[in-house]
Amino acid sequence: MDHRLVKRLEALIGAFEARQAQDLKRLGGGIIEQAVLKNDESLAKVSVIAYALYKILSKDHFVQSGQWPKISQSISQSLLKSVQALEKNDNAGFAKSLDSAIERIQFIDSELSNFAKDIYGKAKIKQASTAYAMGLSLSQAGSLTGADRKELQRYIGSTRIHDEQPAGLGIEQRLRNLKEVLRG
Amino acid sequence: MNENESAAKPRKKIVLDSSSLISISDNCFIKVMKHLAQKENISFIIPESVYMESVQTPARIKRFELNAIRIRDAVEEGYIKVMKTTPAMRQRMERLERETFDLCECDGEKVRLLHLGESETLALIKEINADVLAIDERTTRMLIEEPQNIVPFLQRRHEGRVSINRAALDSFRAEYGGIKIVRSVELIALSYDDGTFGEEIHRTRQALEAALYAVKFAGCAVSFNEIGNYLRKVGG
Repeated sequence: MDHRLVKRLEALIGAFEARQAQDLKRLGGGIIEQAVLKNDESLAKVSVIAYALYKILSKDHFVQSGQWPKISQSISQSLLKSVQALEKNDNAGFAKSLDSAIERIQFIDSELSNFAKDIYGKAKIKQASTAYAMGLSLSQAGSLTGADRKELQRYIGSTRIHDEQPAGLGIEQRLRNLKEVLRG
Repeated sequence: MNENESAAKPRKKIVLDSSSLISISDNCFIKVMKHLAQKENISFIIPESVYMESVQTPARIKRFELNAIRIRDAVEEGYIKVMKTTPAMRQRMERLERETFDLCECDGEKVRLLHLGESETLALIKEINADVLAIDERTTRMLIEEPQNIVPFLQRRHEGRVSINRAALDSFRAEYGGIKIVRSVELIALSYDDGTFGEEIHRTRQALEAALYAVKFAGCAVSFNEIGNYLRKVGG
């Protein structure tokens, strides 16, 4: 049994049930770092779930909806089942329960969203961009989180990630090198 | 360089990673590559997996279909060529996969920095003895050009102790360290410089500036400072 993952999932459930959106965001950030270091897609998935739930809790029209109590309870139950499965070393059950939580997130998103939809897809992109900022290549960050490669690249382009670590060679030098190759 | 001079020189091969292809095609600059290919006598080449990822899969998604068509047209017109993955490339990719997985550790955990997609692009460069790699993605470029900066870069972003496997790094550098790299911003700058830019959009400094920022916002790993510095040199 992965004790650290169990603890993280329990913290996630606690934060979700207490409606502590910022705690969920912070947890998601910590979990994606672990996912990067361990190249662990399950951890990455938990991190994406944490971020998606943070976004959901941040929007009043979700949590004030009449459907919310039932849906939030079903999300909690799925996450609890994933913990129970982990404790029994039941990997298939763990994956199934996580997928069930994701289905419920996607359901609430399609049922209750006003305009912007695909909270889960956007959460994948957000966590993948964090993995990229931590040093993974674009494709590796996309593969780890399941984020669409093109969407991820576009999202990263809209951030300051590439301003934090400028390339050693600037445009002028690279252009000079390119002309040398092409024109001798 | 006129057309006759260009025809007399051997064609130079530039391998495009999917990151550069996305930045360029997203911004409708793919025809710039056609003009560059003709004027500068360049063969632009992509691995088969990049073609699949950029054309075959997105062609089924309405949101991405137009871009997929642009790239497919470029391949059909012949100014972007698709190279099949050969058994030799596959062997090289497997070796790369092992080497890059051994490169970096954080608190004793090996960190997988690269993905098969990037490995395939690198393998293709070696397979066809290409002259230049066009890649907008940061991590692969850093590994090739400035591997000494990988540890401090990762260390700033991870709490644990980051270390590098010198033997694996030396092996990677011996094979791939000499690759010349450009990004989509340099391809745009080249087209401005040689006049082919003007075949797509008025060749003004404002248009150049807009084009450079457009590819940055499409995900090209270039900083605001770099673009600003370059534009100051261009003047106008």
